[in-house]
Amino acid sequence: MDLDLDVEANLHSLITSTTHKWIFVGGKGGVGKTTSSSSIAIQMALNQPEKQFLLISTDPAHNLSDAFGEKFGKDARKVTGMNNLSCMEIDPAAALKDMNDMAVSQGQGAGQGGLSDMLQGGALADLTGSIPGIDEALSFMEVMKHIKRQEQGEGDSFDTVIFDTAPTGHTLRFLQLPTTLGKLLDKFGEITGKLGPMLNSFMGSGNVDISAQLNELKANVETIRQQFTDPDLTTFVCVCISEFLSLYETERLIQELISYDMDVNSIIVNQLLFADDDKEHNCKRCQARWKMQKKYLDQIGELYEDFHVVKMPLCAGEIRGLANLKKFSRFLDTEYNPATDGAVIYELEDKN
Amino acid sequence: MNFKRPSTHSRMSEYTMENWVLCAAIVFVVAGKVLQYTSAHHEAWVGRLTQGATPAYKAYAAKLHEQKTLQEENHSISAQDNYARWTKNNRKLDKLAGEVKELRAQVLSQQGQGRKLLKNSRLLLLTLPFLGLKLWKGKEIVYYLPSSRLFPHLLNGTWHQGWLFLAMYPLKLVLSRVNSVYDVSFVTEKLTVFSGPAVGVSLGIWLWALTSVLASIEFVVNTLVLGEKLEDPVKAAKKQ
Repeated sequence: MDLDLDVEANLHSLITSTTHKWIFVGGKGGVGKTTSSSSIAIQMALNQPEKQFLLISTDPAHNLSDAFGEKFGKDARKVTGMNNLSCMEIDPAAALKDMNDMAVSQGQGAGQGGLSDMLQGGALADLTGSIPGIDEALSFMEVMKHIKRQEQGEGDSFDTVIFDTAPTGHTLRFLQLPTTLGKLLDKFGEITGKLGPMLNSFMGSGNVDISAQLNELKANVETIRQQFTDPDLTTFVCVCISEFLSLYETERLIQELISYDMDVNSIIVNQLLFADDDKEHNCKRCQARWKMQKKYLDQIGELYEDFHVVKMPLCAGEIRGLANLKKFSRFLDTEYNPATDGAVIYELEDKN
Repeated sequence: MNFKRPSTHSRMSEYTMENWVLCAAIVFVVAGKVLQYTSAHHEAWVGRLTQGATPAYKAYAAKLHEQKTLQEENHSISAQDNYARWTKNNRKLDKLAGEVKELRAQVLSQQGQGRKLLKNSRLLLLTLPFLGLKLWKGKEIVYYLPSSRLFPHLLNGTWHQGWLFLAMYPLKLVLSRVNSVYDVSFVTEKLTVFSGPAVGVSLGIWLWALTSVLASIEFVVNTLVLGEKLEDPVKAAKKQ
């Protein structure tokens, strides 16, 4: 039997995938994660116009707004010029303020005593703001909210959510959350099983049953964990540049993701110079850098034989605005050919 | 070694020490001392017996060797010039680290089993039989003292009947007082407390004396010959 083991050097299969619900895009800082995630989202939205897509930035240093050239906030908003792609930026500080405001408004005239009064005094934001990994936790809450909304059929429903994640360390913490939280809730469940009534009275008479809420949370977390480890529903796209440290971090990320049972089979290598084919602008420095990039590209090929390794060019300007992103993103669907597509890198509209 | 009962000693021990008893007791004492002085090597012996040939130990040794080779190879090459090779080695090393951890747990478990086996063997082959021998034959006389006037009565009794004599002596005194008022001879007759003219050294006492002498010799040899010489303290010069 002759098996064709060649893997396409593009993301066509992902872009046209009808099963994927969660797509994570991550890598080291400054390698083009936002551009890549925006490009994937745009290509998916263009290829599947009947579906709704949501691009969420979980990176504390948001730049989705900069990439699209329009302001996005904590609520999903459609990208101007596209009716099936929405974006949102989760702002931990704003989310914490909301939680605090909500707590204060609930607390007016309450005076029930217990822990709830203390939280309603504004201590909630102080408490949660100081917890390490709160950004990831808030992103996770957003995912849970989204799932709940889908289950209840309320509000905007999205078929696929694309995450523009924070640099590697944050992302790994975020992806560990379902497992960690699951274990924590199991332990907590044991305690509340024994001390449930006491905890309820401690929290104040106006509060609902803690055990029931915990069980609901546990069920949601388990659903997410199952979905995240299902390769038909979730995949991770690694973004890197052809340099040692970036590749090293990508390898670390891939190995970690494999250990979480997450599907990862795509790597986008950004900022490639393709100097051999650029007759017009072919300086000595470009040639030297391209030589180095080629060396690492060969190594990537050897290490990730069964991955979709997509080679993306370094453009002359910043890739900002929907038009530029559309131009650039098509190379995710059909691989960039430096001989024929070279002109595109100088054709980007100036948005600076 | 036959110890004949002297004809004049009418109330001495009913038992006659047999050669094998003394031989067995000496063998136990010697075996105990040998084990005491070789304790540092027990781990190695157990290791050879329980691990050397086991598949887990062989696999553990092989994986450690492979790990070392890969580590050396990774240290000898440039990660930037040979990134793929370096990364492949790192992947192998990560995999090996997990396997080595698992195998190490297996080897340690086998080591624990070996240690337990040694401990049980020692208990079954040495400690318990020796204790049994002492309980069974401990009151038998190894030899008789030339005269019963060498030691006070209490010591004579102890040499002859062992440590039990010391424990029974106060009871015997109390019972003799009681017997003078009430007849409790049915109890006192059962208490065969030494009171005869011939004094022998029972096996229990002889073994205690032997081990005490050996311990003293060991202490002297260790202190005078084997112990490290301590340097004299440096005297601080007197301030003038």
